[in-house]
Amino acid sequence: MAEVLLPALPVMQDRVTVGALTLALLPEQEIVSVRPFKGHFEAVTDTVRKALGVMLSDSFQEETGSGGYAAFRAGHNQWFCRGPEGGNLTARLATLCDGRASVTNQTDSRVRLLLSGGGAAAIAAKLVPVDLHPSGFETGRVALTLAGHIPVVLICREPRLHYEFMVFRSLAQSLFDDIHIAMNGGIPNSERV
Amino acid sequence: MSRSLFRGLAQAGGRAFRHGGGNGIDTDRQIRFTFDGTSYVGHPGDTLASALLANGVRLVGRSFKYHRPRGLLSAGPEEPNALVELRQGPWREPNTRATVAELFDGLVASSQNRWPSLAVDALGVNGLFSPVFTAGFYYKTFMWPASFWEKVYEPIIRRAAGLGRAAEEADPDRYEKSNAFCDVLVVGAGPAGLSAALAAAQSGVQVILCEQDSLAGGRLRCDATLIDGRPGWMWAQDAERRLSEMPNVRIMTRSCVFARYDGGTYGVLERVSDHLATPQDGQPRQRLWRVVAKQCVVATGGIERPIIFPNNDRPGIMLAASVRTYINRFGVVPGRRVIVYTNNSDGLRTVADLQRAGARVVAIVEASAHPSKAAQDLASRSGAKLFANATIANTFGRLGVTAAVIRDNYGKEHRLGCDLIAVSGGWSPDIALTTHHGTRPVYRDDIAAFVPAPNAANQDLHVAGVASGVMTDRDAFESGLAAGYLAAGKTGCGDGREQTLTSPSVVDEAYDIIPVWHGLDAENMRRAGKAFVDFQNDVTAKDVRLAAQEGFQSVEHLKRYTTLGMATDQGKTANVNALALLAEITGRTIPQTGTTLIRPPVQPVALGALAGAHRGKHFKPHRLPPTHRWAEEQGAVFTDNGLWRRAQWYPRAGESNWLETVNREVQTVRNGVGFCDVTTLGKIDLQGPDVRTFLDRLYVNAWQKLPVGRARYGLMLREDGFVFDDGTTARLSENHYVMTTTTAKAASVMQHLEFCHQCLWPELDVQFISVTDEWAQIAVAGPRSRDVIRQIVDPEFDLSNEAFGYMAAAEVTVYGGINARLFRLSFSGELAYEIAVPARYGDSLARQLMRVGAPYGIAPYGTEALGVMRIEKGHPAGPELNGQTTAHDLGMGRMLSTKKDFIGRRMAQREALTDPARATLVGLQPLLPDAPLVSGAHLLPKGAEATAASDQGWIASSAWSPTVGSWIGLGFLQNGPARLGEVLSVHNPLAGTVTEARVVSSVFVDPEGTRLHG
Repeated sequence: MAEVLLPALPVMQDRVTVGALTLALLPEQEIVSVRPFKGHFEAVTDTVRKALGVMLSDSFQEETGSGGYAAFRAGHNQWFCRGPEGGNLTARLATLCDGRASVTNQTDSRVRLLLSGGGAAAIAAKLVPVDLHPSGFETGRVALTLAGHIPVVLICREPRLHYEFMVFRSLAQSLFDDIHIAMNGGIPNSERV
Repeated sequence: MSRSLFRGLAQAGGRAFRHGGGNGIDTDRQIRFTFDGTSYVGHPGDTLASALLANGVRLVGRSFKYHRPRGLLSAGPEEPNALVELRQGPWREPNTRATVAELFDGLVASSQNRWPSLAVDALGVNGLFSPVFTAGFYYKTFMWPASFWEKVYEPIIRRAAGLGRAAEEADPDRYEKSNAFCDVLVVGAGPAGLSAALAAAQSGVQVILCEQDSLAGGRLRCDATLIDGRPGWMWAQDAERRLSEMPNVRIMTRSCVFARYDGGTYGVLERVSDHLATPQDGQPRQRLWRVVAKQCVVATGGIERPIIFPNNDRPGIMLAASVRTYINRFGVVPGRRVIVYTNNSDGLRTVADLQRAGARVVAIVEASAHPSKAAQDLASRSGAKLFANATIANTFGRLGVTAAVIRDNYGKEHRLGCDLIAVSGGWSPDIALTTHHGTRPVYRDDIAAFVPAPNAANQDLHVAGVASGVMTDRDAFESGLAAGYLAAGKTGCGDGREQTLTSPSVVDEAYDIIPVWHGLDAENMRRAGKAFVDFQNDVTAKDVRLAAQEGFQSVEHLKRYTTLGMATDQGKTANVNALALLAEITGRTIPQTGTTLIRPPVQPVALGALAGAHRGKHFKPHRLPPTHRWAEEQGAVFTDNGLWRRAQWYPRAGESNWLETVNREVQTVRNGVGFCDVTTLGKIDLQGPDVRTFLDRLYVNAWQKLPVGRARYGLMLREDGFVFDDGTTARLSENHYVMTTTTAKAASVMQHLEFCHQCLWPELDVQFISVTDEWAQIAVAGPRSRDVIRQIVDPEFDLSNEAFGYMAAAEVTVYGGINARLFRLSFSGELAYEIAVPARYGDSLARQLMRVGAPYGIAPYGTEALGVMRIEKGHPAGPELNGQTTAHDLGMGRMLSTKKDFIGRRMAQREALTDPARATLVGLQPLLPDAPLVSGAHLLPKGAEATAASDQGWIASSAWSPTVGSWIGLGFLQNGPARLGEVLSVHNPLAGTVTEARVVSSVFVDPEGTRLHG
């Protein structure tokens, strides 16, 4: 056995397909929680904007910048910034924020699953009590919600077709199974796909 | 018609009672099904009920209590009689109404609640004892002796009165849940519902139209109504097509809106595959929807009532509108010689439909004092005898009606042969959904029915059609359109289009009703008994009278005393008749008598649908630690700790039982080195200039002086002064801490922190977030643990005892630069570390520990060995932190700081909580080492009798200690610390055993702590 630590997948399978629907494990991505301390919101926002090209927006709409960076509001006075692996994002942001915000790595905490295909919204609707109609849940829209009994961050990648679930690593297999079961249950006849 | 004739016609290929094509069936195709083992033929679109009638089968069940022969009363979901079992084996489903069971090829149906057969039911003898089976029978009869109820009476009653049999195997079909949202939910796709949906959809809002039936149209499919000069069902079909072409409309058929909850939330049961032999393409059998709507239009129509008269329950006595449904929708004429008995004008429509279908109407019995013009015309056209101000005084026929006695205006009785009696007692608006929020309906004399109270139609609920009390087709269309436009407008989501829809042209007939509820005179109200009010529960007019006589005059009491309105049909055809009868008996008006409210669900909902996909191993989610897959490979036995699945022990070849394995794991740690995944402990990352103050207020002990690079044990109290949780918190840098909690309380502690920060001390500048899932944390314990950890952590970090002593904490790197955290913590009492790496590496870390630890005999250990070692070391855990113990009880009273405030401080000072005589933590060791100590056993003075008075404490945790070579326990004993050395009696009341044990220190292993400091 090599004397190195090797990363393990958080779920048994990285992809399942049912008809036109696919559930896939998304590649790792650096995810960092940023929470400005009192009186430093604007300075932190400015820092993040300059570093990643994204705003810390009050709306639950993901902001995307160049270089694959993005940020979305993840709770009260909390934003998740994310970017490609290997960018050492946590350390960079901690240095740049310089004590004006708590900066916490969430890269390994969160697993991302992508549900794709015609009828993806109908499948997602079996799990999340959120109105996924494109008029209200358009691309980049974020919902902090439950998928069945599992807390998730749901992000619309493309209305009706692509939904990203961000879930705690320890619950990833259960969520994967639950979505797979929902996919197997098919698309309700009354659904317009 | 005689039974033999019925049987003969039944053999005519299922067409004996078909008079032609119905608008809801496909007569070009035939499908086969069986009922009680006999094969029959039906058509797609049939219900089991219509197909049975088409085949001449009138007897479909036995009544609940008296086992009386019963047929079909209705054609819809209100059916009280025709409860059948469908399918076989694990798919067997009892108590399904034949009137809503859609026919499919190969359907196997059978009657229930009969033995040995439907035609010859031994328990029919119950009818002979009907004088004793009266209201309150159970309460009066089975009072003595009380102990007989569960053992004798209830089993016998259940066998005699039970309905169908549930399947004995698990349901193999799948069920699921889903969510849907809309601006306007329209419930019901009859003329009002379709109109409302069209109007709302035209307004540009998102519409969901739910119809519990398989087809849209409601009564338009059941009556021969002409709409715009065409059959009404064609208008419904067109309307459905128009709606289906609109992108903002979702039509859900076979979907019953069964409940209205708060916040515009509705429960909907979709019968996805009930109409199929097997679900298609993995589709579920049923799907439970949670629909959230800004506005709702209730257009649920009405339910026709029967009239109460003696022996009104024989097969062949049906609701008049249902007779029309069978004729018009299913092409089935349920009888050849018919008596129509009605108290309203709508019932008379049945005469023409029967004639058109080829049946002979032998008599029209009107309750009105004078014959109506319509009845006179119909009678003259059909040749039927017309009786006004008349009643049906009795009926005859053992397994189906063969004759009726009509008592005319002058009291003269006329016996007429018949095989069908079509009865109409008027219509009750189906107002169930409007009462789910507790709004009581109001009674309208003009239609002799309850309608939704004006305030039921509040800001988000609108009622249209018959459900609102409008009784004609024209009014139904108009009220539907108005409600649809109004609901859409109230959402504020419309696109402002002009309201251009108008009602279609319809030849309307006024609805007149005489409030006649029964055909009983004072004599047969007292004597004739079997005039049924509630068919499903065998509640008769006599029962209602008896209940009233015995003081049960409130409708709520009447219901409970007689069982009226209970079970699968919830009294849909019975309730209004019952309270009208009660009103008459008690000399009150119907409004004075009042009505019960209808609670969800409107229709029965299968438990499988409520469970959805959450069954079997998917009953709840599982949290898997990072080493889970590796542990599976090791053959670990798992246990659930909350949602976490944790390795309980790791059996090896040759080990004969779990205790042998656990002993080996404990000894491995005590003598060498072992490791255990402790990722499940809650980990909270805290940052900010005020973290120290925050911790000071949360924990009982002081945190201001904890240096960077050190960890400290902390105890949290609840506001009431009892212990909440414990754990260690390490200071990683000036303003950066990481707190650990117990596995069980991780979420509660996080909530507690949020509450304290948001509500109690918002001024503190602190941020925190769970990092439980971020880090794979593994405890490496035992005298050789440093040797192992040394090979994991990069060499530039000094791990000597001097540099990294007990309770040290540091951010380090492992395997050439991977970020990690190292803590010198020990739960086992041995030299030990907890090492945390990014969670993705947890699996690999376990494999590397096995590799580098092999020379030291390393082995993984599970939660069982973990528990044994913490008991040996006297560390409290869940059984000791049970919410009823104080810091004093745990021997930690001196940890409570007197120099600062903290949560629970004041309440912890209460006299009762600091009483030295309180039961306090001690160790216990049996005099005979092999004598088991059992958690939960009571501690008594030696030799004392096992009474509450001599109870002085309890054992909280116990284990066989391979280190001590004896059973050991942690317990709470009154004045415990002063009683070291005393011998107690340990009483296990479950096993009835008494063991003698000595009170000892709660620390069994290394009380000086030299090992963990080594």
